[in-house]
Amino acid sequence: MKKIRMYLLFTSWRYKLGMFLGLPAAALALGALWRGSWAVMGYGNMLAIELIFFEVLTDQAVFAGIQSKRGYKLDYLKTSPQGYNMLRWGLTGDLVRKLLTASLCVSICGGMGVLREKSGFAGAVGVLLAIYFAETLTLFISRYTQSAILCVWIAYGGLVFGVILCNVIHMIPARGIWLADILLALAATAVSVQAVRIAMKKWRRTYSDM
Amino acid sequence: MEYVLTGNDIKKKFKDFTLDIPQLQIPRGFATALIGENGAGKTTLLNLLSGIRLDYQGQIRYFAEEAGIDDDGIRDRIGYTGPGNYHLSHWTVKQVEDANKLFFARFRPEDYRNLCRNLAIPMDAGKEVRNLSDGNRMKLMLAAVLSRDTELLILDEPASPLDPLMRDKLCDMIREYLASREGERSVFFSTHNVADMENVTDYAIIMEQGQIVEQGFVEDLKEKYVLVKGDAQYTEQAGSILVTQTRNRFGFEGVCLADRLNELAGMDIAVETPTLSQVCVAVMKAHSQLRF
Repeated sequence: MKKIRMYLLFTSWRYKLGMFLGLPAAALALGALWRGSWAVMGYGNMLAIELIFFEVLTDQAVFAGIQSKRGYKLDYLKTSPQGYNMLRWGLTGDLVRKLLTASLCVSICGGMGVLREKSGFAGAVGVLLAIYFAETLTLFISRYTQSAILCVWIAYGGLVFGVILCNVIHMIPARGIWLADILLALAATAVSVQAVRIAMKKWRRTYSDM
Repeated sequence: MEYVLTGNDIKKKFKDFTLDIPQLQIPRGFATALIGENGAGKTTLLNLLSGIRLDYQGQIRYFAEEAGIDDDGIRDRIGYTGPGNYHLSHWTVKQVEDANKLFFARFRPEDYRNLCRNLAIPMDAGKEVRNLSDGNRMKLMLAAVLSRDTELLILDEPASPLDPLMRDKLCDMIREYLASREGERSVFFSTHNVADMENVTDYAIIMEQGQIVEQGFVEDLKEKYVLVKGDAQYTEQAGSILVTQTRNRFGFEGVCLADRLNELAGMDIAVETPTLSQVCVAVMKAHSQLRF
């Protein structure tokens, strides 16, 4: 409970509103617009674009430059014995939240019948993991900069990568889809763990002026 | 004499500046002012003492148990306020309270709310830290840190963004803090507003170019130095004896070591007790790289 409170404190109400309600609502709205057979494969791509682009840009509002050379010099956290944990749980909680948001959006699309993968549930899981993997990888890269313009370009590259991955998932035969899911899950987990680890290492370096 | 904080051979090197303090002792139970001109190294020293920066040589020990900053429970016993990005900018006054409950074991929410009311900090539900004035942000920091059960306050320029009325209030708050535990609590603050903070300062440490150049209890410093005023005809003669001297066509005024007062014998001078501000300016001028 304390860890959830730490994560919630870290993000503003605008961020929470946007991420917990705005993105799923946008997925719902897009799904309603997209309700047409010609866009069956395209909706996964649209979801990838929506999630990756907005998640990466809004991540800048919270964790901008945390892995950059200048770092995240929030001195208030350093005066507390809980400061290190707070930041670690802020980062971890946000990654968990991102997975939940992506899951909710994919579920909404599946429920509306807009996202229809030929491999069924496994295919939908594959789309989810493809989006999440592309998202966390793009986030990991974007946190090296505090430049909003550079972040937009990184987000653009990320969403292209995410769209490619979603299309690859769609092309994988049904018998191979679970293997693809497992590989994506491992890759996403590895990137997530590394993202938190590197961010905390960089933050620890801000205890030094050199 | 007991010390709340001791430092030995503290050294920190930058490209064109070195902090070099062979010995630092902050007396327990008193308010100690750290005074120095811009770039003297005050913030650097306070960052090391508060544990915000850990890259230095030497040793810093806290409280009677002579513990290090990362030893069990030490950070909880120290309160710090400083410049720069302190609270997260999107936090409201209520969220600062929630954060303090999570971060510090000895935080008292009721005291925090009372202090916010007493300091007239805007407590509107949606008012974020980024929308507070510099003065209100400092008041918020002070309210948060004074709501914790600490034994040492390290305050970096607490008076700078405050109006004169609030500076007077700050002095009252520091006195209340010190008195509340009968000698168990200490305050160490840096300041440029020596005149405003003098009435709460018990001990002064003067820094120049990364080194401590003078220190002592205020009353002792006021006995060590004297303020001398004299006629214009003695200006040149007195100039070589005084630590610092200001001149006009009517006469001169300057600070002199009390030990050297007899060297001014025979001159028509008036001797007064200097203020702490006058002592500090004189000492800083004597060591400064500024040209006067």
